[in-house]
Amino acid sequence: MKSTDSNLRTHALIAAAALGLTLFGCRAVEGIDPSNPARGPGALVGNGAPVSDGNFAGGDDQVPAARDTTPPSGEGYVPCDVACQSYCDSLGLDNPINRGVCPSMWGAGLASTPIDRPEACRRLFVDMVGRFPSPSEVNTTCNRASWGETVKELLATDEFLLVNQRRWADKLLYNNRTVNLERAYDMDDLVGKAYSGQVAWDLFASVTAAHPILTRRHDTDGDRADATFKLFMGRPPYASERSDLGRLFAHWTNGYFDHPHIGRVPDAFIRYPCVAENGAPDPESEGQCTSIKWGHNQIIMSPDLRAEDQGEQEGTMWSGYLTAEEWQELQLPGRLLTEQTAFWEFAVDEAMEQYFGYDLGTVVPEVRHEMVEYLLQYNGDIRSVHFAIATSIPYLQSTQALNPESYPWTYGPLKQIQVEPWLDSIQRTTGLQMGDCDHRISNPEDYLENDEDAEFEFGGWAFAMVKNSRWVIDDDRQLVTGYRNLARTLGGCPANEVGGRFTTISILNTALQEGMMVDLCDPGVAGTDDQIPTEALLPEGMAGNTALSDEVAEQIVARQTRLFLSREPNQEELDEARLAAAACTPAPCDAESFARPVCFAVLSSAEMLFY
Amino acid sequence: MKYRFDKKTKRLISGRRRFLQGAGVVAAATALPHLWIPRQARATAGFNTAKHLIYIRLAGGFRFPTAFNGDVGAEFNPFGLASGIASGTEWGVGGILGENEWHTEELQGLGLKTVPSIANEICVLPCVDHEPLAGSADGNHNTGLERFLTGYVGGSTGIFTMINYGLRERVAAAAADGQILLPAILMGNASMGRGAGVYAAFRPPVMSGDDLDRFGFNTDSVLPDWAQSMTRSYDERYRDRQNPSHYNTVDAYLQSREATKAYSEIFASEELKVQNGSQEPFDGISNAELEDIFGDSGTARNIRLALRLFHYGCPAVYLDQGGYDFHSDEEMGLPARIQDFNRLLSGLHFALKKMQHPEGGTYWDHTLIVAGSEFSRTARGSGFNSARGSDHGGDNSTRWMSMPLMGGPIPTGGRRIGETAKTDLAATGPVFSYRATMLTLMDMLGCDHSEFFPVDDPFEDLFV
Repeated sequence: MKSTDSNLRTHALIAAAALGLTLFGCRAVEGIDPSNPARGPGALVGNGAPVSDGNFAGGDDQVPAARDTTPPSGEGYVPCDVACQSYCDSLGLDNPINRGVCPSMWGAGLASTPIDRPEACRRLFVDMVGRFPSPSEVNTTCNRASWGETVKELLATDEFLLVNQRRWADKLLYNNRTVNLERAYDMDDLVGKAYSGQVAWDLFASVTAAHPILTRRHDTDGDRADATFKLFMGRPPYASERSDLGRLFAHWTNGYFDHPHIGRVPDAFIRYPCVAENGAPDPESEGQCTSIKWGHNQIIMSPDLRAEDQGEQEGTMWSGYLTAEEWQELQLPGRLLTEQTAFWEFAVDEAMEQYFGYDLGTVVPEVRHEMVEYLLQYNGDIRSVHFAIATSIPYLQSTQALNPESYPWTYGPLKQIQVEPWLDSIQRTTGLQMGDCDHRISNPEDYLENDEDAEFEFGGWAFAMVKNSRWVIDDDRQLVTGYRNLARTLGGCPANEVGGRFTTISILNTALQEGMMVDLCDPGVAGTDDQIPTEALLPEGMAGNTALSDEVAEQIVARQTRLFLSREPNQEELDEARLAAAACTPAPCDAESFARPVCFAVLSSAEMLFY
Repeated sequence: MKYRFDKKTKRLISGRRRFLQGAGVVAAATALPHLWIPRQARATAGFNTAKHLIYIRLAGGFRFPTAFNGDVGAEFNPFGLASGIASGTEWGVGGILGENEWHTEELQGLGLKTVPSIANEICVLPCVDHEPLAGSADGNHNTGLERFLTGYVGGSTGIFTMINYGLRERVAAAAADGQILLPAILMGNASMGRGAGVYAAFRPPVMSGDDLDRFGFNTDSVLPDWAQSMTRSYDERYRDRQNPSHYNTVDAYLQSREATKAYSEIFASEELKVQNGSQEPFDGISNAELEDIFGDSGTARNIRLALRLFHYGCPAVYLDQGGYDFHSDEEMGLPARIQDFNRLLSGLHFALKKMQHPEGGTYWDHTLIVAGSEFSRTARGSGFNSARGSDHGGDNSTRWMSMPLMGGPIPTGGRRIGETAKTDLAATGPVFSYRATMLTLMDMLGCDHSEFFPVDDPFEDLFV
């Protein structure tokens, strides 16, 4: 589960060569690619073969029947006696969640709730792709020979990577005013490698814990230890853990790097505690760089020619000069945590929370145990965890069950959609173009407008960098900000200067969403600015001035239900469509004057906010 | 809880008199279980003296000694003191508050004054600290901000959620009389509005001056009857077919839609369209005048909107201002950036005194203006760090949020309540916990704050 030695050696050579060049070139850093300005330790790992073959087991379990016994009351611990355990053993379940949950579900006499393909597809797409599926995707991608094939297909998409890259941007609080954006790009690439199976989860954690995106974000050794603990152990450290692990962060300090294209940027630097003036370890102070809580572990680095010999950061070294071996040495604190069982438990718990919306690993600990074993079986390939969850029967249940039991694993999870998936779904289905937002550069305008008070002037490189990002620049070379402004008001696309993402139901969020739907659907047929083209709201070939009839009304409701809700209309909705057609005034209504209010009813409905 | 510096032990000690008072009440309650302890047990003389609060966060960590505790050593305030300070001002008015490029002839003509010249109407608490008994300051962006927004690291309830919760009975009583009162509103970091469980329903809405045009209509007004019915049906059907455990999740959205309609009439008001350039006076001042006074920056639009929201019963607005995390270029950047804040303070001083409150008097008479930040800053013994900026760590310079308060409900304008040593910024007077300061503000708004921050008390010092 570690990067191979040959990989490391190769990258050590590259880094050393780069180091030589940079030293020789008076530390100028030219020739950085504006389309991918990533620089950092992420580039040194995950460049070989994937850590597993990606053929994960457990995608084809059949839904077992509940054992014929009296089910438990619905609260508290669910006991599983010998007969229960025997029943579960006989089922031959491959999926680790199914195996783990069986003693608390089928073995205990509890039935799972069936789900239909559209509901399952909708949930899977939002969780893995970050938007609702189109009608054709429901009938193609979500209709493979097995659900496991569907999930595997989505695991291989760029959108799956983006969903998880965005999550990690939120967790690590990317902000280009706080940390050099090259580090965000590098970290983003590292996340992409982890979620495409190129980097094992323990290596990912080790590199992340000593990544400038994390170390530069915090001010003290203890804070860095604290952040690492929360990220990978799911809890803050105890005081003794914080101070002990903090000693392995003693080399990190914060400084500023003069980037040739974007000026002075905050970045991580290396300092040299625990050494005497001659650079040798100082017995008097080396304890400040030594952790003893998880064995005797020490990081001591000595300054050399790379350290700044004058100026504001005298005595420290820009972390960009670190060699691959030095990076690996600094990754010790993360490695120590990955040796803890709790590290792996939190990895699977967190993924389950992501998909279920509650902590299944805590309420049914057997699931956590099975999942940890499964993740290790695939060499720490985090994709395996996502595969197991998305193909598990507890995940593939309808939310619409009326089962009296209160155990949350006996019915489907219901979650509120986040802002970007909501906006992206609306953009895709309505043709609305509001732009986009790129979590790697929280404040892109910083590079598009020169500050009169600043000494640095941005040039074409900076513009090209923003242009090559997900931010949209219009023909007038202006940043398109509609998407960002709306998303930030609703809680998404966070700038992460200090706070972060939020998901909420509030009066004004609701008002904002309704207002947007009025603009899009134009229920009053008033000709709003962002009005969806009429033909998009009508069945193919139907003209806007078609006289409204029961049949036309049903066709319109069916068209929009498929388009926006990714499912077929139910009988109640069709009945309502006919009643509405009869009530439509001034009669006779035409197709457009009916379709637009229907659009508002469907697009603003709760079904667009929850999945 | 208020803390004082003990010269003998050189440590902070809690306000024992207050503690003993509390202990006495508890002891009496224990001895006489039937004894009713009124909510006002933790109230101050300032209880319910303010109708509105404007709470401004100087975002990113503000170096307070440069502005509100300026008469300290140059390593803490390298900008020196301002000139033209109003007589009767006890506190050190930092030089950056005198930065007045914003103070154009036009604004002078309107009647706006520089901040130093109104300093005698501003009271300063030099030593407000997150955790007065902690060994060092919390200079971490994340945890410092968490404390600022909720009182604690990882606090689950935002200060503004507490305000809404604390005023719930007043709002309910008004609703029973057919009057809709707007809640406290956020125009900045949404975490100020965290809330779960019983507090979830009192989370404040997040809005800004840019968004208002989206709120000013009732969607029913553009929907035919059949479509209104269809819209409701879609929601209700979806909610009703969920598992009972999910019912409340979806129902919260349905309730939110209903509440939006209730507020839509307010949001549709012409007065709330603060960018409409209207010359029509409302509460004694027009939207055009407000634009002249505050300008048209994002913060300016927010504050203009805030002043209008107050008319509709909104008790408090919170906004982020600036961006003061000057690890570099503070020497040049801070005097430039503070100008907007100076204009904001001066503008509020002018506008609130001109605006007539619907319940009598001026808005100034009923409004509290308070500024804070997640922490202060340090240059670790120099005027600036090597990048001509400042950082944040664990020392006194980071520790003390020297918070300014002004407005009619503050009877102690010009005073400095607390003091620091010039040489090392050690507290030589009372230190107030941040939570106690927030309780005091809630108290002044008339909130029931009995459920919050049980080991802290609001303090009387502002009213003595």
